[in-house]
Amino acid sequence: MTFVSLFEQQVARTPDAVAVEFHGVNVTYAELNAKANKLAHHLIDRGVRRGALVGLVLPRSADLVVAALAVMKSGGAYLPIDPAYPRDRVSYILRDAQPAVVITTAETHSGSSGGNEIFLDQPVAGPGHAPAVEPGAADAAYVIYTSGSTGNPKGVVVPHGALENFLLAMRAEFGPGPGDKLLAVTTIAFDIAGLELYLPLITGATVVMASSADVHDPEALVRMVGDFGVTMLQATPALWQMVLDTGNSAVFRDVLMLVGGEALPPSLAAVMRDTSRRVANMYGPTETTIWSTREWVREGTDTASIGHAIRNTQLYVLGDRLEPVPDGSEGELYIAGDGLAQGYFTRPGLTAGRFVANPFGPPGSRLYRTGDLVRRAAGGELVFLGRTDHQIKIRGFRVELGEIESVLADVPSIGRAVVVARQITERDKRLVAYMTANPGSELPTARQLTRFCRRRLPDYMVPSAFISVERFPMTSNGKLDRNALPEPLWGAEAGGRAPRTALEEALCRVFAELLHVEKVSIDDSFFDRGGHSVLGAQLVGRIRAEFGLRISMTDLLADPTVAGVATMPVAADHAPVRPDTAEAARQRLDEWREIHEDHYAHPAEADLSEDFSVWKSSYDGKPIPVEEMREWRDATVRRIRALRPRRILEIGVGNGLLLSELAGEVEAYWGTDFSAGIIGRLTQWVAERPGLNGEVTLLPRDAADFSGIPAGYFDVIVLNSVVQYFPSAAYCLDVFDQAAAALTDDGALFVGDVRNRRLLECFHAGVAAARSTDVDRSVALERELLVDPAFFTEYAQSGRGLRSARIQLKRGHARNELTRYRYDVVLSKTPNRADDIEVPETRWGADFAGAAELLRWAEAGTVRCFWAVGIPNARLAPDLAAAGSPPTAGLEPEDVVRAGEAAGYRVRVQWSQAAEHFNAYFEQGPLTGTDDGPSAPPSATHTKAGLAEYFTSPTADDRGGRPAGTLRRHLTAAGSGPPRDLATVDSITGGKP
Amino acid sequence: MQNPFDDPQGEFHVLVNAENQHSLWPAFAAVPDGWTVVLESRSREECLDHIETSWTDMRPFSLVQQMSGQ
Repeated sequence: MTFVSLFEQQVARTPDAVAVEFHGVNVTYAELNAKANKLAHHLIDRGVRRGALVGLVLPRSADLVVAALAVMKSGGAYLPIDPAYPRDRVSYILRDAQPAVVITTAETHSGSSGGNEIFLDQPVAGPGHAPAVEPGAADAAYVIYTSGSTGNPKGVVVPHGALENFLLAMRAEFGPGPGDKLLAVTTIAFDIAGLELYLPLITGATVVMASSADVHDPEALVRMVGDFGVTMLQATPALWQMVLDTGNSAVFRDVLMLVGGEALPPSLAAVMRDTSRRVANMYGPTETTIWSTREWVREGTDTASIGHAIRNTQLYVLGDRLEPVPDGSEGELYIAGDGLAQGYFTRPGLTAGRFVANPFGPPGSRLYRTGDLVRRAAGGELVFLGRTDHQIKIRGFRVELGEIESVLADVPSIGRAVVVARQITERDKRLVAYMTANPGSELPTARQLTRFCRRRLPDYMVPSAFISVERFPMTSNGKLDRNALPEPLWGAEAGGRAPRTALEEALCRVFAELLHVEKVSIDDSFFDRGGHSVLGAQLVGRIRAEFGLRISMTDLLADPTVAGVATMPVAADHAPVRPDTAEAARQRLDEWREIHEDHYAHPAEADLSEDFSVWKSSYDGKPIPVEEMREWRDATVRRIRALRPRRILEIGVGNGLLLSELAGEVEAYWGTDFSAGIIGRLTQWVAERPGLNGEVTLLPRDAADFSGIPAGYFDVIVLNSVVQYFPSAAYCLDVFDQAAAALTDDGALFVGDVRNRRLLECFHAGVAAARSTDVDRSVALERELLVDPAFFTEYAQSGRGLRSARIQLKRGHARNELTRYRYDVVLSKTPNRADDIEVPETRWGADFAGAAELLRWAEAGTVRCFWAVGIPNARLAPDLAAAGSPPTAGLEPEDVVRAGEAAGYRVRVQWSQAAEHFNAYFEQGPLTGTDDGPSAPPSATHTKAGLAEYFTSPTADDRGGRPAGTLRRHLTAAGSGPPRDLATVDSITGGKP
Repeated sequence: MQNPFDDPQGEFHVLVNAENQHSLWPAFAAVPDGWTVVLESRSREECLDHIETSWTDMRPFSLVQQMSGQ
């Protein structure tokens, strides 16, 4: 058996299943097989025989799989070369390996293979049946070049038997099958691509091939996982980090994650585990075929653990006398078994020193000595400890520092070069070259050296910094002392233009921060100044989040300078921002905090929980009547209670209005507030009530600060009357995302008292009419964050952690700004099952025109549930009149609810598409928690381009040039005090944000 | 830790198995079963030179035989 025959058996089993999917093109098993057979015949015609080498210099596409299969079917071994490699490296490999033929395309061909090329973008003639060649287990399947310590890469010759054993082992470990989809992201020049391309093809699964542009764009990969329904993905830790940094982790819920190639950082392991179906940490050198061990990453697993051997593989931990060391002691790992490569292509000496006689296995068998230091843990699994030599891993790629050193030694003026890898942060490892100059010579500039290295080495091997030293530090016994080499001064050389605009200035700051340099000019290339792909992905993420610029990794690679990035368009789904939005947001929060603390420092009531004096009416500036406030509070408490909370987190706990009602009923009540003073007073208040002591935990925190708050612990998180003080849409989304992580799998986020953005003008009109005062224009700007109700529905569908949204108008007969303009939302982690049910609709004006008629309609029908849509909201009538709308007789939502309830329905009321109307959902039976009907009537539609467009932009309003602190001065002057009053001292003249 | 195979001052043998695969081997260690000493107790350099000149076809011997029989 070989991979080829396993594949052909699969073709016979599932000829019509999709074998490879690439950018919308599906290739079935039968088609793939026929294409590969055709090309194999063509290769044979061109002289390829058993044992011949065939170079592959191809772009990533379905044809790459065709070509690799064809070579193996022709009896040859393929030699994969990444077309992105520098030309010098490609020519070296072609010269060294002397392939009989090179398969390439017009786009990728290197011109250095001497006319023996087959262009895959030209038609290939040949029969569709398999050629009469059958490679055996000892025949070479592929030759892969890896970094070599002596200055040139070396080819590892992997036989079919080793590849077959590996694939069967992976089939047994991971058991993919028809319906499974594996996203292939790794360059075929890296041997682990073999798992991504071949494992699906022997199991009936599908290879989803990412293009070369996709593999550099983490967001594109995340989209592919979601769009294609990928179930399995293998990547290096560096790539996983980039992909998970995009923040869209929901698509990985059902994905089996494979990670390997270098050490797995514990923080990344934890995120992967929390995000996915399962995580397997893989270990193995190219010389023992792709992976040799596997460890499941579980809670508490040592992330340095590489686990146990895969099938037909033996692991030995040996000391320096080749004796097995006791369990728990450090030793070098030697690997034996079916995975061993033949050796290094045409390097007998090198091979005989690494693939050595095996004293522990069958007579005449061999061991591969890995150079990896390990120990065997109590459970028998191996734990990775480090290297015995100067081989390192950069973003999963194996790098021999000696190879870089010898490339630099070719520069005539360099006397000696030493390259070391420096860990800048956990996620940022960079290569630094140290050089002495030959006597009388001058060293080239760093820029020249970078260019020189780029011609000879793959980009991950190009040093980030070049340091000239007088002489190399030595240890007492005369060896190079690598630890004494000076730390490079990152960013010592800042040339180029200074920033010209505020945006460029802010971008320079972000560049410098990520690069760990003091300063960058607008012309500095991010990648010349020490940046690499992982940092690049972080940069792209920050630019998108902080500046709203629509930029991808591909854009950054095309022009990695501040000047270039600053010209990128602003994303449509981003709220208007200024370069210093983050700063403005901080200022805004500080202002709110100050106002908030001021008020609560002098409570009007001895009992905090009964103090409603903060709540003043916008219409007349007087406190809202206490009975209306009690009605408001009781309705809110009922809604939270209906969620049947056991462990509550309340963000923005304020003076404890809700806490005082609910804390006694639950196991745990955590409260946070952005004012330490308030938390202090509330802690005191709780302490005086012994019944509450054990359950309540109070922490001073900004809403977006979840430090110290346990993940996956709360079943209900409450954000009541808080969102309006958030500085921006982005801040709000951040809080929601973090709240989702703090919730249990079936938990819910209660967002109470949200101000309706759609009714902003109506509200202002009503207030202006009632006050009939000339309100200072500059105070008129809305400083609060208002949210269009459609946001919540869209958010629930956006694939983040919260998957359903139920919106409700406020309950109560009182007609005040709370009942008119505010609403509550329950965002749940579980999808709303009721959304799958078809619910009939009855329409105001068409089917009914009054409460009595509505109920008659309901009673006459046999429907168990229905939507009544488009009912004019009588609560809004006076303000609508003030705004100049023609009067319409409508219904009072509270009346509709009560009438429905009296008739045996449970009723939920929410905004209509036109915000001055409302919809009511009627269902027979009692009200139950979150399970109260579908999210919205089927007729509801949403139109906004991006989530941020559903919000007002309080910080963006500062564009008029109002200095920080103006807000507060105005408030003091107007004598209006507390924050809840703030939105009210204004008129429509400020304009709609 | 110095790996015994990398010791530039060490004394080595050259071993060969039935597949004509060669192995450098530290002289202090017992010769594993299935391997024959073809060069005994030499410097690392000498052993590697010997391997470079005598192991010219690196394919396993069984494969060479099988292919020449085709």
